[in-house]
Amino acid sequence: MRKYETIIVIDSLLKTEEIEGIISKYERFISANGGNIEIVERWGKRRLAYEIKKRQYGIYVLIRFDAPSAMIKQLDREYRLNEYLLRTMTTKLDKRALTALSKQMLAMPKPAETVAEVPVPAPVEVPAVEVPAVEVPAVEEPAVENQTTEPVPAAEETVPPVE
Amino acid sequence: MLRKKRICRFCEEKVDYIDYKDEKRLMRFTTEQGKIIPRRTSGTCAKHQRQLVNAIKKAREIALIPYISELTK
Repeated sequence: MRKYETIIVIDSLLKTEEIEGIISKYERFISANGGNIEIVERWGKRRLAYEIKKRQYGIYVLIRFDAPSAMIKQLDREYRLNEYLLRTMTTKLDKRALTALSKQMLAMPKPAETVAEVPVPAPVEVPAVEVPAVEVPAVEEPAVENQTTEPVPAAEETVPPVE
Repeated sequence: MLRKKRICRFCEEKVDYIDYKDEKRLMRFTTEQGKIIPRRTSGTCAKHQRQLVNAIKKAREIALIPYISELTK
């Protein structure tokens, strides 16, 4: 099992139901063939950098999943059969990408809307916002509050800057 | 000609993964025409330039950034 990321660009002239249908079709395909979907990001309608099949706009969808490597070929074949897909690309996440991803996950516990932010500034911002909110002289209290309010992985990050 | 000493922007920010989905960042390392800016001009270090080039080429494939910009067509 390896972690992959696939981006599909769907024809924007389709109806929303049809688009959702296409997305769920591939979601089902991945999970039916031994894959394990981690996240589905809908980027929405975006202007293409160049015309594809006479289309100026496309609906971008990113799916990140674990899958056995044999499945990728099948997935690619499925993609080719669908003429409403303007572009598709499946990439294996390498070591660097995985560490960057896990950093990003730590920075923001909700993985719902992670739109390719730079992973580095995010962890710095989190404590910077929280520290001024609490009173400065009380050194011990904010640490306790942080632990109670924040989920466990974020709490580990917020504690060292306070000390 | 003397030029200002260039430092690799990715090293400065301690970036260890250049994301192909971050098209705004990638666009900064291409010319207006859409060409990749060479290392000798941008000052990017070899390690990051290699990653950057791969990221740009991936982004081009899914039409996030252009192969050739509209201006030059």
